[in-house]
Amino acid sequence: MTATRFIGILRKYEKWFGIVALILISAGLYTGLVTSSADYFQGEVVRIMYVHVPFAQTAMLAYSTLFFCSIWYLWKRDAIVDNACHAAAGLALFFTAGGLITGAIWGKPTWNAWWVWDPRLTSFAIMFLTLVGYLMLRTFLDDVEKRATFAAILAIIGFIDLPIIHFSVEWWRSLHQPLSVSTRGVSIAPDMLVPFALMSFGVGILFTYMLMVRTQLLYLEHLLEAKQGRFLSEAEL
Amino acid sequence: MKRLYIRWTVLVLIFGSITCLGILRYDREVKTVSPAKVSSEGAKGELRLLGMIEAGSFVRGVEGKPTRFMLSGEGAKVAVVFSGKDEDESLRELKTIVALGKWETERKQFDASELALDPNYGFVTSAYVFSLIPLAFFLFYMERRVSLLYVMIKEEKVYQSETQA
Amino acid sequence: MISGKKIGMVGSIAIVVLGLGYLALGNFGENLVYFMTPSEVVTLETDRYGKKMRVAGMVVKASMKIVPETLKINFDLTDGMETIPVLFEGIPPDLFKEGKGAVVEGYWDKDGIFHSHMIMAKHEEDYMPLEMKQAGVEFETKGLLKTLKVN
Repeated sequence: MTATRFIGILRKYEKWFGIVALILISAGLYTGLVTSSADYFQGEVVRIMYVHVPFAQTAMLAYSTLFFCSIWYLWKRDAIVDNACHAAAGLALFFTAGGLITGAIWGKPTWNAWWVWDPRLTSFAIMFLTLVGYLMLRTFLDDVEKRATFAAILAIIGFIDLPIIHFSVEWWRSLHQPLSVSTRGVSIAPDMLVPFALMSFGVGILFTYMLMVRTQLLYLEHLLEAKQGRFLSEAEL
Repeated sequence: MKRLYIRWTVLVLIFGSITCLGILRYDREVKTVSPAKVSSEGAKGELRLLGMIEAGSFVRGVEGKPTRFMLSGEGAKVAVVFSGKDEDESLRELKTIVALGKWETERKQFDASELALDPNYGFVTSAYVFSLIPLAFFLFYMERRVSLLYVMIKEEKVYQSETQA
Repeated sequence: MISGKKIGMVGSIAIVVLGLGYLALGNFGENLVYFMTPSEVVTLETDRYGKKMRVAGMVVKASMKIVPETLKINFDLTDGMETIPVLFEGIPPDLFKEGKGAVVEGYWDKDGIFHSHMIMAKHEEDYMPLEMKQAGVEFETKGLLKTLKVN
């Protein structure tokens, strides 16, 4: 697929993702903050769940996107796919940080601790470090193809952490609660499941929209840099 | 570029006005007062008293007698009388709670009709503020940069040459 | 020639490798035992007495007593097999409750009491309004005692 056609598709469909995300998140905020009830055990603080869980899930969705784009890059060697990888990594870092911050804010009133070194939190922090390492690596390599290849390999290796994050609460002893939505069923009351689902899908679709925008951004920066370089050298000649 | 700014202005206006409504509602309905304020200044009408149940003061109500305890906060203590039932035995000493009820000026005690957990609205608000506001800024700067780049590229005719090739 | 870029590159890879290496080689799950259970505490060797550790369990119903005029609280912690007494000094978190989970930090001593200075509340994965709980609704959950993974 040529880059221009790819960008054309992104430009054509991006707004629909943006609109759907906006509607879902607005409905999620309204139901989450206004109409849903407080929890029997945690009280009002439970409302942090409607922002913490979507952020943490989206961070994992973003890393998974980075993983599949990296494989796609190594397979097809499309420069635009490398831009998508880079975009997904930046977004994954943003959502991981968001998940960690909202988690800390939720942890203090419920657990009585901002941070604990339990398996779930530790493996999540390792994803954060992996992404920092990934983005740092990209800034230190000048050769475009080498950078894309090295980065893709690093992202694929780092993917090991994802199943560990997901299953950590089921495999090992942890302070973090087990999964509320799992093969055991759903253990959230319907009243609270509505904002939970709206926000989860809303933030997930917002991520897709942001990925489309950021891929264009990185592609255009790249294009501008390359073309300006050529203009300069032509002028010099 | 113009459309981007209009879109974001509309978004900020909508969410800003909803936030203002939220703050107004908070001030009117769920704001709490401290025992220190109630005991020194007195208070009228229904109010929400936030404080910690003092150690050694809790007497659970049995057989028609109300539950009594001292609620402390900001250096003062007030007596609270609660005639309702503590359904799941969630009351205990050294716990911060919100008591909904009326202040009796003559008897110097607080008649509570309902007791609830400390709502911790500060934590809830900061969780939303620290996640959604950076998200909005991040997205805004990203979209603005993309629009700028398209304008720049159009002027330099870089993008067009790419399409023709 | 070692350039700044090379150092940066090696450094960034090192961050990732160290993080993942910790997961893979450090026997992540076994090494990182975030807390012990009462069953493990009662069989501790004497050289572990007085050392800082964390123990998780369920606070036994009707076991909590506040010592008058002090900030001392006694309660029992169980994992379904063994029960240990805990002496805590301080203000417990609001969500600390009988019949619910708690992680206590402190040390086990030869007097057979766990001395704690810090309590964390451990909650389960079920969420519902108070009215629903009082109506007796229960979800299929993993359950607190199961998450302790007592062998």
